[in-house]
Amino acid sequence: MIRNLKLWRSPRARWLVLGVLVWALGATAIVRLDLAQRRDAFVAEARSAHRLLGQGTARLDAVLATLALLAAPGPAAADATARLPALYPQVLAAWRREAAGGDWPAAAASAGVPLAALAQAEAASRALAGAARHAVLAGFDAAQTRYVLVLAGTPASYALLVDARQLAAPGAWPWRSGQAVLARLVWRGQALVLQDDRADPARPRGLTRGFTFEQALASASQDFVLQAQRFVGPAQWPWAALAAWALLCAGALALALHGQRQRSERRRAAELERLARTARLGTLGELAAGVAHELNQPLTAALSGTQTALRLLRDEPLAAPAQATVLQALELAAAQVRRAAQVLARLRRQLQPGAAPPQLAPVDLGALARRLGALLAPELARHAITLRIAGRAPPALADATAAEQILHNLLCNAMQALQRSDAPRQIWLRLSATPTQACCAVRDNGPGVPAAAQTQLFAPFFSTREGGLGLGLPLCQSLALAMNGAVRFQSPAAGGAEFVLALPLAPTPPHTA
Amino acid sequence: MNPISPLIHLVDDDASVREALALLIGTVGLRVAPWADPQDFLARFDRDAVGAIVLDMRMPGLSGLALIDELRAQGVDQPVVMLTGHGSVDMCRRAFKAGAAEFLEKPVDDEALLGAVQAAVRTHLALRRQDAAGREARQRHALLSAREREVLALVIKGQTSKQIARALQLSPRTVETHRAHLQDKLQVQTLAQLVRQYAALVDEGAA
Repeated sequence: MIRNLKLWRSPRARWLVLGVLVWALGATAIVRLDLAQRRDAFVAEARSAHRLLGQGTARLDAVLATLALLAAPGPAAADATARLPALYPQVLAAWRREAAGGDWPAAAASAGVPLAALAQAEAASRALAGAARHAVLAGFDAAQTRYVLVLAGTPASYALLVDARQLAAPGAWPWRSGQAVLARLVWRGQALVLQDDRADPARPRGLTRGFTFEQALASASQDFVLQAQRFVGPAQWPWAALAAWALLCAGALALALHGQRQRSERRRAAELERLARTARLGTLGELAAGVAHELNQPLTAALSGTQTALRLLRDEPLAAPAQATVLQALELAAAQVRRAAQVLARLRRQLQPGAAPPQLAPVDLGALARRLGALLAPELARHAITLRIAGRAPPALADATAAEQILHNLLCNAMQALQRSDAPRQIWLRLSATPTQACCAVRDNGPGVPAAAQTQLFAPFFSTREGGLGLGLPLCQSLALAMNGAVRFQSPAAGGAEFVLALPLAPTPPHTA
Repeated sequence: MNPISPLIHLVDDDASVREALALLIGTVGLRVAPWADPQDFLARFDRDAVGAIVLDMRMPGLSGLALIDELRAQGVDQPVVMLTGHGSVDMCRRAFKAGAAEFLEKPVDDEALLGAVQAAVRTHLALRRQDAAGREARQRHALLSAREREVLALVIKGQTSKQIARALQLSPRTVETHRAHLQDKLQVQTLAQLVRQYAALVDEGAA
């Protein structure tokens, strides 16, 4: 749980989750749009199929009516029925019966159509009155997708054996095979299957029913209902569009992450620059203070010596001309010493590190240490140093900027010390507390500090590093002292060096409980 | 030099500064004891001598502020003149808070330093004299009899001999005798002297 929270807090993870979310939303929209388009297309196709079938059935009615109308007894009519299938591919056979006591030809029976059914249908057709008379279905063969249509007439009745699959001209049929379509003509619970791609191995294993269409044909004689269904499954999804969208999202995400990385990199650089600037100012101030202290002592001695001489001369004057000259010379010397001291004082006042009184407030040293650890992470990695932060400390009463600068300085010192070490390089930051102080110890397993140098560590201009100014630790000490704290050195038994920043505890706020 | 003249303890880690300041202070007839190490000074200096202490703020081992705290904790009564290389307002405030008599910036002018040291010595002398006077008064007070102390207490409260006689059930003449004796023992001539020198002691005894 805590891990997850941490993960969520990282901006990288946030961007990632956001990216996935945007992709999912977009993908849903794409699929929905695509489905709507397909549904529209399917409905248009189904209407076209419906129209074609309607035309087909109407054509058959017209053929039958024409046959009945033009029926001339004799061989000419027989010839017409024989030639009909050649003209109309949907007509498999045509039969004729003389109304005046003829029989339906035996060919009908051999084609699988019972003669009784023909007679019955003819009677039903004949029962229809005058202009409303239309053909009647005499047989419906679902297995072979055929049906028989009978129109009673005088002098002859006609029957057509129709191939339902040829009702619509195959060239005009909207669906090619393999388009995952089921189309059938339903009549009284029976169905003539015009197209069925369900057996197709490539058919989508339906997640959904897909699209359906159902409409009755307008024909009176062939009162079929066209049922059409199109199956839709993952195979039909707009994968290309989805992939393109995913690519787009990934690209945008990569850009965002890149931007984020650059931003955090810039922030880190700015933070380091700020620390460096404060450190430079502090160092300069410490330099001034160090120089001032080093020069102040000889100046003090010089001034006191000169003034002692002046006093003695005034008490016991020399012979006349010498007295005046010596007094003048000594006064000149004293004035010049004072002038030098004033220059130093001005320099120090302008650059003093603790010139501004520290802004004391409760500071969480642990948080500070972790932030510095994160800030210096690339630096630590570059030098193959592992940084461990352990322990806890209550809030210290300190100036956050100064405390940060001290810890940063101590960490940088440790890192520099470790560069001279071949062992697995490690820095430990340990937080602890005494009854009056919050402490943060910075320990490294580097070469440590030679015993001779230990007493001079905090003296200005003393450095064990080649080219070191020797002002870092004095600066830390000055900053800590200004906050009523201290920086101590100790030699850990395990080797290396350890510096401890100790700051007074912040007063605990009264408990509201 | 006169061994009874006041002794100035000069604590500074810089040898040339010690030497020069010692010469300067010596010109006004004060004795100077120079100390290089504050710890050494703390361990060995003469606490009874009349005089003052001149301290540098910034020394290795023990800072001037820490040293002054330590001196006060030990009950040392010599006034302390602080010297510092860099006198910030904050540091000045802290020095006075810690009990410094004077706070001077290096390089220090002879007038300023000598003035401060002499003022400190005067302060210390007065302090010691006051202490001595107190000690003597205490010794004389110890000579009084129980009855004389009772009479003294009432005298200091401002009662007349008659009132005292009534309160202690003595004759006024006896009270007069007691008063004469205790004035002799306490070596005072007037009532005003008596009250000024012994009122505090009597209150202390009554408490």
